[in-house]
Amino acid sequence: MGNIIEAEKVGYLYQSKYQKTRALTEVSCSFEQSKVYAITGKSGSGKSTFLSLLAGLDVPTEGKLYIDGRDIREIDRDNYRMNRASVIYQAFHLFPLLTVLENVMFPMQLQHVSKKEAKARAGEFLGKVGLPETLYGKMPNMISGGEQQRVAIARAMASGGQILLADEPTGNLDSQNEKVIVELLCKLAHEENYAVIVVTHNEKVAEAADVVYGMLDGVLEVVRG
Amino acid sequence: MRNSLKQMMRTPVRTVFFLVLVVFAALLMTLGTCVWLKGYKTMAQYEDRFMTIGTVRQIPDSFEQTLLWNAETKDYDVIKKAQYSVYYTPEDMLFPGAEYIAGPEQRAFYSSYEPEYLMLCKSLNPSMISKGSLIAEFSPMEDCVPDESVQIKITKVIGGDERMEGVVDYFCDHRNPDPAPLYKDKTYVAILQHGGSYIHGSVYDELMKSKNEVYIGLEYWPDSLESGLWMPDGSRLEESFQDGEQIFEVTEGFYETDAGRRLLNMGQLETVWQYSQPVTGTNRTCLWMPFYNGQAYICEGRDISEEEYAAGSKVCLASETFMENNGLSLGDQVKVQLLCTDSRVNAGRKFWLDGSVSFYRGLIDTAGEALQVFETSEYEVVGIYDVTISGTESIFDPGADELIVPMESIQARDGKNLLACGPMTDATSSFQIPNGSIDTFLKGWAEYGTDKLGITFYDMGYSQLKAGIDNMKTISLYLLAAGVILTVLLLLFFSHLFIAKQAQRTAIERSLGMRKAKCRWSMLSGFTLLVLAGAVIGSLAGAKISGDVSVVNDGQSYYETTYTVGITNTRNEVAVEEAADTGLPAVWSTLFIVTTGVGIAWVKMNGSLRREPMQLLSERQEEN
Repeated sequence: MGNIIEAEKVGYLYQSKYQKTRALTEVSCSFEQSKVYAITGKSGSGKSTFLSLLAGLDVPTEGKLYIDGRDIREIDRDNYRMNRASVIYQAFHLFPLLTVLENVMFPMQLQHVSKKEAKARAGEFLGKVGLPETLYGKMPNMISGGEQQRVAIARAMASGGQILLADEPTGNLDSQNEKVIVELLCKLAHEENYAVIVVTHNEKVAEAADVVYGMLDGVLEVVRG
Repeated sequence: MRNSLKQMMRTPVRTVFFLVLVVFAALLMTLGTCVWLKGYKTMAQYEDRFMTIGTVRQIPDSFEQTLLWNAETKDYDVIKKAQYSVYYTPEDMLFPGAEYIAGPEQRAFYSSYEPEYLMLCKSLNPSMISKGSLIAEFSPMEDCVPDESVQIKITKVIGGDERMEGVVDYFCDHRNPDPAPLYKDKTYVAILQHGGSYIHGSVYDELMKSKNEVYIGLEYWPDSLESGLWMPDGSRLEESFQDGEQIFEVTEGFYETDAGRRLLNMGQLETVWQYSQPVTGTNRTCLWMPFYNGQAYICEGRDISEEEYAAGSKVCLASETFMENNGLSLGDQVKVQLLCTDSRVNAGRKFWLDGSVSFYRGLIDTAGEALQVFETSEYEVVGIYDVTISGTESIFDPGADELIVPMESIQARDGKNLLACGPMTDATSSFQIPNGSIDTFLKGWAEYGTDKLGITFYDMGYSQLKAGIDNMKTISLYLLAAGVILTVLLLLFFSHLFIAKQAQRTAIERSLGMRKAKCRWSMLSGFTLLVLAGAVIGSLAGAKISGDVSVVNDGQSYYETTYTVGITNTRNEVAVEEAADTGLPAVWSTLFIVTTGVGIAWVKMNGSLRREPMQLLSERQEEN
C-alpha cells in the first residue's frame, strides 16, 4: 500500500517580532492507510506543530510535505481538511451549541450534502462509534467525556476523509473510556482503512499503534517500525 | 447563516438581552435624531417669518414744574414737563459690534396739505360745524371780567368755520390770573380754542338753577400769537409775541399792525387740518409698529422693496380708506405737498383714527407770514393697507390717511417748518436686529450705550420658541449621545461574547475545512441579522415615538398673540407648525448601528481568524 503522507526533511520555524523558535528539524517520515501511528514526546517537543502541518493548517518553513504525492503548498488545504483529513482533540472541541447529531452533520453540510442524507449518515457514524440513539439530541455538555470523544470521532469520519489526526485523544478520559477510544481508532485503521496518526503521551496508546515515532526537540525518530 | 442563528438562539437569554438593548439603543438614537431634526427644521422654517425689533425712548433728565393759573379752581395748576439736556439721535446707537438688519431711525411725520383730497375727518363728518378752533372777532354779551366763563357773541370769523358767525358761546381767559375787563360795546379779536375746560362760574350756577341740569359745554380760551416753529434742538424760534398778549381790541387800522397781520395770516391756514394727511418716512416697513404688530397689513399690492427704500423711490403705501374716499387705486399717483414737520410724536397722536385732528397752532414764521408748502411731489401707490381698529387706543396707532414713504424720498427731511420736536420715543424710533441676538445686543449696549435711552424688544415670541426648541435639541442630543454610546458599548461587549469568545468555534470550523470567508459569514451573519432586526425595530419605534414628541406645543403653537408675522398677514399671531421628518433619521440610525456592528464584528472576527487554529485548540487543551 502506498504512502498517503510523506515528509521530507520538514522543518518549522516560529517567527515572532522579537525571536525565532525552531519547532521541527528535518523531520522525514511517511504514513500509509490502514495503520495506526503514534507520535510520542514531551510537551513542547514539536508534536502538535507537526500534527498541525499534517492537518494542512500550516505549511513547513523548510523541506517538503507530500499529500497523496502532491506538495502540501500546492494543494487547496481547506479542501484537504474538508474531504481528506480530520482532526480530533484532547478537549473534544465539539460545537457546544449544536446537538450531538448536528455536530456530526456539520462536515457534511459543508460538503453540501442534503440535510436528510446528512442526518441519516450522521446516525450511521454515531452507530459505528457505539453511541446510543438516545444521546443524539443532547448537547455536548450533557454527555460524558468518552461519549464526547466518540462524537468527535464520528464527526471526523463524517468528513469522508481517510486520514484521522488525533491530538492526545485520550488525555481527558478515564481508563475505561481510554480503552474504548483506542480500540475504536485501531478499528478504524484496520477495518475502515483509515490512516490514524495519534500524538500522545500515553504509553497504552503507543502500545496499540502499528508504528511509533518519538519526537525530541523537534527531531523525529522511529521508536518502533 | 442557519447554523449561526441556531447557535445564537440556543443562548436565548443572552440573545434576547442583546436584541432588546439594540432596540433600545436604536430607539434612543432615532428619537434623538428625529427630535433634533424636528427642532432644527422648525426653526429654519420659521426663522425668516420672525422679526426682532427694538423701540427706543429717551429717558428725561428731570422734570420741570410750571405753574399755570386755573380760572375754575382759582389756583395754579402744577404742570410737569420732561427736561432733556440733549436729544440723542439714532447715530448715537451705532456702537462697535452692533449688528443691525435695519439701523435705528427716528421717524418724523409731515403734514401734506392737499385740498383736492377728501380726508377721513371730512368724510366722517361732512357737515358738522367745526367749533374747536377759530380766529374770530367777538363781543361779550355784557361788560365782564373773563376770569370765569362769560358769554360772547362771535361777530366775524377770520379763520375757521364761517358758520360760527353769530353764534353765542362761552369764553374765559382761563390761564390769566389777572384778566382785563371786556366791554359789550367793543369788538375783540383772538385765537379761540377749546382748551379742555367746561364752563364754570356764575353762568354755570345760573344754568343749573334754571334748567336743573349740568351743562357740559366747553369754553373758549384765547391763545398767543407767536410762531409755532421749533428748532431741531428743542428750542422755540420765537418765545413770545408782544409779551404773550392774546386778546386784542379791534380798532381802526388794527389789521395793519403786526398782531393784526399775524391773525390774518394765521386765519389763512386755520382750516388747513381738514385737508391735511400725515406722511411718514421710514427705512423699512416693519419698523413702523402698526405693521409690525399687525394692526396694519397690506390688503392690496405689495410692500415697498428694500431697493426702493434705499434709492428713495417715490412710492408709497396708502390707507384703504384714503384710497376709497378719493377714488384712487393701486398704481395711481398721490400728490404730496409738505407743509410742516413733527418729530415729537407719531402721526396717530395728531390724526386720530376716529377722524379727529389735534392740529398745530401758530402756523406762521417769525416774520408773521403764513407757512408755505416746502416740498411737492407725487408718489405712486404700490400697496394699500388696511387698519384694524381694536377699540383700545395705543401709542402705536397709525394716523388717519397716513402715507408711508421711503425716508430717503423726502428731500427736506432735516425738519423744515418744524412744528414739534422731541426725543426718540417708542412710537417714533426703532431698529431691527437678527432674531436671537437680543442678549448680544444688550451686552454691547451695556458696554457702549447710554442709560439715557431705554430699549424695548419685540420678537413675536421668537426667544420663547427658540428657548423651547433649543431645550428640546439639547435633550435630543443627550438622547442621541446616549444611543451612540450605548450602541458602541453593547456592540463591543456582545461582539466579544458572540464572536471573540467564539474563537474556538472558528478554529473548529477552520480545522474542519471551512474557508475563512465562510467562517466569517458563519459568524457574522447571525450577529448582523440580530443587529439589523434590533436596529430596524428600535428605529421604527423611535420614529413613532418622535411623532408624539413635540418641540412646540401639540405640534402647532401661536406665539406672542400681540404681534404678527409680517406685513401681509392679517392674523395677529405666528402659527408655528413643526416640521416632521422621521423617515430619514430611522434609516440613519439603522445604518449607523448595522455598519458599526458589522465593523466591530469584522475586526473581532479577523482577530479570531488570525489565530492559528491548532495553536488555539491546543491552548484550550492545556487549559483543560
